[in-house]
Amino acid sequence: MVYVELLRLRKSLMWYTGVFAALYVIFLLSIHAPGATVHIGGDISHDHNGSIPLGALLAGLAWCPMIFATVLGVSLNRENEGVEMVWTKPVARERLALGYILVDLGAIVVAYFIALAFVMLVLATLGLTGLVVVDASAARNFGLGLGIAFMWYGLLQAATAWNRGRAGLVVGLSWAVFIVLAPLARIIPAGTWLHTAVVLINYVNPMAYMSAISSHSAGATNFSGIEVRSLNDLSFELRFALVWTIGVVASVIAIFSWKRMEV
Amino acid sequence: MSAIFTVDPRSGVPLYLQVIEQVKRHVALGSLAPGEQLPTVKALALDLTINPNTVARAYRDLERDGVIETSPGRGSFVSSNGSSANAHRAIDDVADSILNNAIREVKNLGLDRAQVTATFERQLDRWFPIGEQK
Amino acid sequence: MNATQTIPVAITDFTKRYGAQEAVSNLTLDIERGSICGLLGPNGSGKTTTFKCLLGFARPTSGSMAIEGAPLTPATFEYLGYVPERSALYEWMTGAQHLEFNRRTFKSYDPKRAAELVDLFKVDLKKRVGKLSKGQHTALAIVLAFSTRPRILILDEPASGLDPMFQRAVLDLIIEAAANGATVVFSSHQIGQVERAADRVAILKNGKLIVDGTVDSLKGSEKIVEAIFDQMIPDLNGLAVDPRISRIVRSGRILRAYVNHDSEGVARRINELAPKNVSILDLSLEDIFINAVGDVAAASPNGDR
Repeated sequence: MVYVELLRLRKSLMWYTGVFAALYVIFLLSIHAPGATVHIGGDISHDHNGSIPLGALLAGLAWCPMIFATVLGVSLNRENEGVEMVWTKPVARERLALGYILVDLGAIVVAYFIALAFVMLVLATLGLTGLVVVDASAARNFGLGLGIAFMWYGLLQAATAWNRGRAGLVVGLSWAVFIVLAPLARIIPAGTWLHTAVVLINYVNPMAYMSAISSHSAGATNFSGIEVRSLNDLSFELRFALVWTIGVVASVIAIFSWKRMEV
Repeated sequence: MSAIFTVDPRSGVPLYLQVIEQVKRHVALGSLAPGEQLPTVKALALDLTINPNTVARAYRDLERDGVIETSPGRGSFVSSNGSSANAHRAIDDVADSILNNAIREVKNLGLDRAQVTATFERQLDRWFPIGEQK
Repeated sequence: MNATQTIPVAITDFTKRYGAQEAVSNLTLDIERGSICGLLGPNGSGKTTTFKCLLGFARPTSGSMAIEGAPLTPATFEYLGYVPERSALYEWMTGAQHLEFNRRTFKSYDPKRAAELVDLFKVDLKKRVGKLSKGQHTALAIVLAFSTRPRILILDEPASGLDPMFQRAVLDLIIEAAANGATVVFSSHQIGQVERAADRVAILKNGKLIVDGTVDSLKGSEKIVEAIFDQMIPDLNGLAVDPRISRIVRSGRILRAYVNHDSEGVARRINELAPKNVSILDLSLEDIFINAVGDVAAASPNGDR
């Protein structure tokens, strides 16, 4: 059953890899351009005595699987155009949908590694691989980065699985809304109901988790005696648990709304 | 062998009756000999591109009328028992049905009994001239 | 469960409402084993809605649907073949990939049968579905549906877009399946196909079953009694409310009564009006269909759901 989604992902991953390959070619051209100088040592290595912690790399690269996840996040919706064929296979619908979601999750993991491989390749070209050190945050940030991507994926599935069409619109809208909402909590003065509302909404905003992934700025808010802690103040464990829980719950909602859909 | 049958699905005459008439006609003409095997229901249905149940119904009626015999596992055959009597009855059936249609159509033209009889006799004279009668 | 006793396709008092609109009203239809049932009706008459609920794409508002005596489960599709009216194939996948998809999902998939059918319809398996013609599209859907040798077939316009040769091939497949004991429900706008292949015909209009019977019995009972009068047509003397007559049309000195049974009796009764001549005319299934659905032009040209 997973066959169709594997075929489809093969195409998507080829595109995705192609983008990185193109970036690498551009990179090669730029360093070999006459008069080009390479400045080694950016933000990442700044605080770490010239070494590059893997955890920081993975935190920065979390954007890549996230973008990829928003492309895959409408896979059930895309199925709906020809759902008459899929639903007349002797396979339970929840198994079908679960199959899609697990395969997509696997592809998001692969996308993360492709992004990492690209960065390592760039570093290798510059002879800097030796600077990369595996630190304690590597696994944590990988898990959180993946969780954020999966959360967005799940939200998109829940929003689009039960309907025909309009998926592209939802994806675009989700980008716009999430990008705007994430910094809004910092802009709106604390202590207003609007601020509290935005902080609360940001609990389901992958972009907000994204900006909190490696920073820890304080910003508790409270309104009329209700204290709402901003995402940045939550412990890593709590944020980790939240993104994965939201991702899983949203996916389950997607599976059942897809199963119950009438066409 | 089944290619000897033809039916017209668009006609208002029920298809199973058309199949029955076809078989009887061929038995009457001798193109289906006593003891000769008929196509299976499936083969005839596919050959004529008509519903198998329709063919099966026609075969059942033909069997009831003694025109054909069906032995389980072997298929359907033109009756050989008293086959000449059957052939004659088949001829009568087909002739009846043809004349029935013809008379109905002439009657539809508004002719009364005497006029139809006169027309009929005129045609008889044409096809069976005096002196040729047996 | 005894397969010879259960009804393969049973629709009982089925109603489907979309908002305020009733797409199908109180439809009851039992289709017997080995039967080919032609479902006819103008666009929007409820055929596709019925198929959708039968296949679990939508849920009945009330009433029930049963396949082999039980509600639909995923396992049902091991022996149920379906060809949708609208293509549900993946445009970006090739025919070969569709067959592979079926091979992986159906225990009942028969690769030899599939190869035969591909040959029969000359489907180019290497081409992506998006590049296939409308007819080849339909042909591939038929190959997929028949490749599992299903014993129940639900076919919504299975020959659309096919040339006459392939249309005949589809009819042959349906007939062959039924001769081997399969039960078939199919809809078609081409009444000639139904007239050939179906033993049973059900006509829907505005979501209601208005004609149901075997093709042969319909042809045996549905007739036109035509009477020609010398002068003006006399007072019909209650003929209009005769239950045997579904419709009366008068044009000039010709009276036509569309009769649903006992045409001889009706002819005798009309004869009492002293016409110049009375005759009973046979009807083709197309005539019967058009009489039943009445003003066909009024039916919506699209939007079948």
